[in-house]
Amino acid sequence: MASSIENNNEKLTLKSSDGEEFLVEKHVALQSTLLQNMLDSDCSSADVIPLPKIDARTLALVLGYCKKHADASSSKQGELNSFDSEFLKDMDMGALFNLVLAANFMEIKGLLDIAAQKIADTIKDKPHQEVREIFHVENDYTPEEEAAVREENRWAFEGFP
Amino acid sequence: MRKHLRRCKARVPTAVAQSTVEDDVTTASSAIAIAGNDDILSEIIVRAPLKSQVRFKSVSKSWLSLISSPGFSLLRSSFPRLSGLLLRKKWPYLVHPAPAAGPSFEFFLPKSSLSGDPPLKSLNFVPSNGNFSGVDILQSCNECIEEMPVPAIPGFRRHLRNGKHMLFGESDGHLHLIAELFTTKFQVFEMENDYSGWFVKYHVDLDGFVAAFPAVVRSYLDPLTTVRREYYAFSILGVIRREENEDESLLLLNVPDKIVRCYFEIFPSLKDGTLKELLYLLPDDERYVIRLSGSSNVCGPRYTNYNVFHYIESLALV
Repeated sequence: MASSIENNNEKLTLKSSDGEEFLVEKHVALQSTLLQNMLDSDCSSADVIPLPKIDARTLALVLGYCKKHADASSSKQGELNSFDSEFLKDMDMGALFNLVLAANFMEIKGLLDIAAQKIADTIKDKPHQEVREIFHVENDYTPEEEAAVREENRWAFEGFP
Repeated sequence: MRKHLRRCKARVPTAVAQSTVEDDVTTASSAIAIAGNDDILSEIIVRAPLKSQVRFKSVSKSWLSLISSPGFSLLRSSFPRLSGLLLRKKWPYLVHPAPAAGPSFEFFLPKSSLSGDPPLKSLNFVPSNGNFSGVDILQSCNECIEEMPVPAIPGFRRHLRNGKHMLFGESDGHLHLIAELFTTKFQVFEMENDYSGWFVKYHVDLDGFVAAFPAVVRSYLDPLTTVRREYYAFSILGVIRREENEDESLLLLNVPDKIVRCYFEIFPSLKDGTLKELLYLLPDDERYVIRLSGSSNVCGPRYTNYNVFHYIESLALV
């Protein structure tokens, strides 16, 4: 930890799956537990850290989030909350999915929290058939099995097709 | 993990406009990556309201097994749970004719900001077999029942009986016994986590509350002695604990037409490190007072117009 304070102005380079490079200040990168562990264990001797699972568009969003949260002092929770909701406001499902995957891979707890919550809020009132389509899940129930599961939980289906 | 991946085959869109094909394919592949990762999927589903979680069991067999798994329950328990009360108005004994429908339960959510809309506003049961409450116990498991000792109250010998001078309840995973010492003095006992015994969690002193809420002081004429006697028209509905944030733990008091939330003021431990002193109250502050619909009559020395039931969220099938 001491080294991260001393080298506060150090920068590192992240490379997205589609080959774009991002120059990031170290204290911003430390929002990610994955990167923090890499830096702590000195794996970062390589100049460029490849992130093969994250495309440039998503990585730019992730780093925007990290920068805001790294720069804001902890006393400004209200400001961060409004940044978070603005950040996710008009994001489509595909972008949210990518964000959750990136946050999970890079271990950024706060980002995982808000992105997962946003997805949950979007799907909570949708019929399960639609949820299936959103997640591209194949329905492996037989009609009888599906009816039985539904009957068991009838109260939760009031008002749903 | 591999099993899930195999089950969640992609339904790649077949007829889409040329310009969005690439976007749709990336969205599809992220969706599939998420649907194939139980950890991420759990993080999403657990943030939906309980009712949606139950509905999502119908998405597929792997979603059903995920939502029913012990790991998911464990994850659920790390989120703040909705803690509410169901209040059922007691019917005055002399009302004729008895109401046709079963008594309804009013749902009461002590802290509405917690997770959006309340799950229900009221609850109605259809009377069955002349059972007025409309509620039958279908099954109970004897193996799970174990006798618990009634806590001894130092320096106090009153025989504790549930209902009259004692109230039993559960909140946020803790068992409570609220014991009346004197009219305005109560002790809230909490069961140790290992069920080995009770300890005093809060001292409750409502003298200040009574002074601030003079409307609760009532009097009646004793028909035998023709002496006018005073009594206090309040009753304790229960304790709501918040494990996460002790400052939000509260005591609910029922006074005529209102339910009042009283927050505990936590003082540094007094003797053994477990003792916490309650103190009241922010009386007449609208934020802390919930007005009840309909009027209620005060009908006895102990003001209890409601039967109180804790609302417990659960994914268990009942």
